[in-house]
Amino acid sequence: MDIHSPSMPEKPVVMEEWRAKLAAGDSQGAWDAFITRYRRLITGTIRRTVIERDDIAEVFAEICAALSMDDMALLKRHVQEGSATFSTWLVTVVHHRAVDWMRKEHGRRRVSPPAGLTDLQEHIFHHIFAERRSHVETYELIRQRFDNALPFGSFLKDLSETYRVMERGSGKAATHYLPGPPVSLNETESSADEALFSAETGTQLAAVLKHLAADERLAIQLFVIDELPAERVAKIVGWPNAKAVYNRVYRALAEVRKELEEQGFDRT
Amino acid sequence: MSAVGDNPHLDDSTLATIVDGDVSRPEAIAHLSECEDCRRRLSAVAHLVDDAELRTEIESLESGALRSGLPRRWRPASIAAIGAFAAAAVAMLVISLPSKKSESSTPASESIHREGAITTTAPPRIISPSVVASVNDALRWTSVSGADIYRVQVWNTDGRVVFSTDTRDTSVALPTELNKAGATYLWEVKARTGWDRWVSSEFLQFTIR
Repeated sequence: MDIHSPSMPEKPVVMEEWRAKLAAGDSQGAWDAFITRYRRLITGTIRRTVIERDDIAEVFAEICAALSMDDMALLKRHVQEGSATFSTWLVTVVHHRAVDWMRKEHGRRRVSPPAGLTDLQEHIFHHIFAERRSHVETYELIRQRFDNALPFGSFLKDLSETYRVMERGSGKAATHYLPGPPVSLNETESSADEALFSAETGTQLAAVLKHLAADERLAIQLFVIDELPAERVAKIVGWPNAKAVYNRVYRALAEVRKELEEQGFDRT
Repeated sequence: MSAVGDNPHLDDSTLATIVDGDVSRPEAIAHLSECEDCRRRLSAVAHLVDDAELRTEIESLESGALRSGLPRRWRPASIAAIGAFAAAAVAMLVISLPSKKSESSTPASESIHREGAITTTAPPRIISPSVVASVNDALRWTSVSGADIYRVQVWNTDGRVVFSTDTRDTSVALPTELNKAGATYLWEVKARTGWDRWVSSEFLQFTIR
């Protein structure tokens, strides 16, 4: 309960200028008003999605073209049918189109690594982000071509740092449409064999997770793997609050661990 | 919701409502727990709307507050306001945070691109044109302390970049082919204040008379 305003006055409904112009049939005026109002949100979303900074303007132009096309048909559809808040919907659409643009473009030209990477990390970046290879494939390629004495543990550290540099520059959204982030550095794999072992247990794990309820399975994926804040996970899966997420996720993980042990899974 | 039929994946509208917390779609939750593609899109959007800067922008937009990005109607009083703002910006730079590091003083091992850095550098302010321009008017803006390059970009109203240039000056001429009476453009100028650090002006629209 909010003690400062126990009875919130009803918020006046304010129609945004662009909506009013759209409703009045003034498409040009509606577009001008829309882009002026939402330009920052659009460019901010693009900046946190694309890998190459120099692409921002081009992606912005493409997205504007898509949104303004056919008398702003896409925007009109949301106005008429959408139930999400407009800003969330706009971020979703912009992110999706920016990712599509990158998928189209990255097949045609070399992606530049961000600054701040070592030589090894640049190779990691190239194999994973430009060529879309898996982590184990990348390790094997680097060993074959550059350093066949590279320990897997060292590779994992450089791999994690490469993701961190990417996320610092472009945010988590930029790495989330690509092969997943590397295993935690708390893991004790010290060789590719152990990584493959993990992959096999990953398959076993996926099978055990299937026994959980859909919302618990999704909560584990979003909270543990995708590292979303507990409050956001609660909102997405429909649980009352962050505490419910902590409690139910850790309880579910305990059940999973028990199930794996009963299946004879034993790393020793 | 589109999770069956021709397209096996959730559409943008459905994903957006789920990020917002609309839980009246148990079938969408079930799909998300099975489909890695859709889940990764969902978590990417969730990270975006929870990003500090975007969250501030969204809250401002959703509250209905007028954004300072709306086209300004420049009047003589605004010119005085620019002077006052510039003075305040200089004071802010003197007393506040991470200054631009010159190349000679940055240790080689120190990355300029730090996580979570917040810049308080005042952005360039557009002087002219705004709203209306004459043919052959130049694009002009205030200088930014520590900036070594300014990048100007001009869009037409279809969202296409029609002009882009880098300059060390604080003005640039619009190309002749764009100087057509009746043409309307949007433009902004960015100032580079450090390695890969830019501060942007507002987006302004003008029409050539």
